[in-house]
Amino acid sequence: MTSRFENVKNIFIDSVERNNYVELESAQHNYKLLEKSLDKPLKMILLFGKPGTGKSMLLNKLYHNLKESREIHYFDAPILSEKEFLRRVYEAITDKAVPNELRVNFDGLLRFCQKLKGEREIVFLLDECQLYSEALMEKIRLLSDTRVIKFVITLHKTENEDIIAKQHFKTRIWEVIELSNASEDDLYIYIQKKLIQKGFVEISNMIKKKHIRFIYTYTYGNFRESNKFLYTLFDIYEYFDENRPHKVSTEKLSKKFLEMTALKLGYIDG
Amino acid sequence: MDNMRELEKRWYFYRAKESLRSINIVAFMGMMSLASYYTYTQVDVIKNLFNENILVAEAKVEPKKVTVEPIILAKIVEKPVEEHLKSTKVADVVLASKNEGLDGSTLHVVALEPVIPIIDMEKESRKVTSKKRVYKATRHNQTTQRKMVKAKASTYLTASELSTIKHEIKRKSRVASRNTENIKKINLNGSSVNYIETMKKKFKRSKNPRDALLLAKAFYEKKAYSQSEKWALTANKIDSSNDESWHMFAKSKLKLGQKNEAIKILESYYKKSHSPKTKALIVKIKTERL
Ligand SMILES: Nc1ncnc2c1ncn2[C@@H]1O[C@H](COP(=O)(O)OP(=O)(O)OP(=O)(O)O)[C@@H](O)[C@H]1O
Ligand SMILES: [Mg+2]
Repeated sequence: MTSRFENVKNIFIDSVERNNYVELESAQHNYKLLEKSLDKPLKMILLFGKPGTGKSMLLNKLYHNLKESREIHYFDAPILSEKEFLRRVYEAITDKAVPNELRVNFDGLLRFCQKLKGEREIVFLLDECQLYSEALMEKIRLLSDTRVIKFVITLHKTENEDIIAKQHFKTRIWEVIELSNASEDDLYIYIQKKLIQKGFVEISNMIKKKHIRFIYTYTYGNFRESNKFLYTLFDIYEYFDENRPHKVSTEKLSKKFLEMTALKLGYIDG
Repeated sequence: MDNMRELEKRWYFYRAKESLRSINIVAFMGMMSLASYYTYTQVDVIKNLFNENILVAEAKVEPKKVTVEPIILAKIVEKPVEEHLKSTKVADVVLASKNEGLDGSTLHVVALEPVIPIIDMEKESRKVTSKKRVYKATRHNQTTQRKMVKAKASTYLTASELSTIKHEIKRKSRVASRNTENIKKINLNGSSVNYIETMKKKFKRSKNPRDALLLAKAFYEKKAYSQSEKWALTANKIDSSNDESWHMFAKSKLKLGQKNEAIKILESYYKKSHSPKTKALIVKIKTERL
């Protein structure tokens, strides 16, 4: 017997997919900033924030919204070797495949881009830029100096990378959009909308503000952490629904299950 | 399944602990309110005897002080107050309290004076015995409390449940140390497909980078290098400080024919980590000994 909670918990598996995007006030605000800065004469745009704050999600949405109306390319996984990176950029611009035995010459590419000035404006979205090497980042900057290619990059900050990153980017003309964790209210809306979008209205009615407060105390509104919390919570629901259904009430969330989740994830110790 | 039962037991244990704490708090609050009730009623008697003036002052009385200070204060105004009490002359009392100033401390004296022994010697000896009594009382309280808690806890847990928990705790450390063996055993006994499926399920639940890394290793051994690359990356995203995930990622890249990429990744990681193992791996790859 499969429980309906199995489908509920799967909503909270981490995935960067456009149709999972939830329109939160903060996310919408950042999205609009992002769209606006694409029209400014900036060379690069940086999406910056702690892991799990929705950078990839935003980039993904931007790509799908604009791919019909602009020249836009999206590298969702980092391409670490320079050779491979230049090749992918060249192929994206020219729409021609580079034969295997050849490689793209960087100076050539630069000159090629300069020639396109005034004719084309191409946007590249690069996710996970913290993985790119310093040398490759320098080439990316040089490419953006041509004003033909505009890069939007995401970079996740860890505590000590924070300062380095900021110093690093201050010297250039950057637009920096910083993403942060959700507020308690946003977390509430996030969870409600996520459930309702997938048709689990009844389940969404089970979740009250005080439950959100409980979750928030442990996840601080981080999307990834909160997803993990809810996944685990509904995993517990699934188990009880299958094995001891009399213990499962669909009126409101069970305090016991919430606490079990916190225990399981190590937020509290028993 | 068993995991869930174990988790539930942990939760029972956690609940028992929490309720123990709240019982302690309730008991403490109860005692406090009893104490303040007692002092309040004492003050009340006198409040009835005297006029409004004192009533105003009385509002300032802090019950805590009342219970702490009586013995010392008694010395200062022993007799006059007793007289007041006997005579219940309003004016006199007002005078007396004016002398002392209208703050709370005067009132303590007034309030508690009658119960305080008159002779100093006796006072001293009583002090000692009363201390003892208090001590005994609290000890008694503690034991009854402990009993109470036990009784309360068993409404949450049956005796057998309690005993299994104890058992469980003892076993936990042993189980933990056996965990790694278990994983290996599964690997050897079951087919590798089975192992991979089990691990995938496990990872889905745990989101533990170790599980992802084990999966990466399993795929690597099966020569499914793009899978092992993917899982190493997953492990690395959760915990990027783990050497192994970097190594696994690079080794997979190497096997996928991306030698330069593999070296680049390791070198960039080595810059940060200075891990000798990483260094060794770089050398190994560069000299084609892998
Ligand atoms: N606006 C949103 N709508 C729906 N889900 C979101 C939203 N923002 C974040 N999430 C959820 O949070 C998860 C983490 O977000 P995301 O992967 O975008 O974080 P990130 O900032 O890119 O993290 P990292 O720095 O680790 O790459 C996503 O899998 C997604 O499920
Ligand atoms: Mg991301």
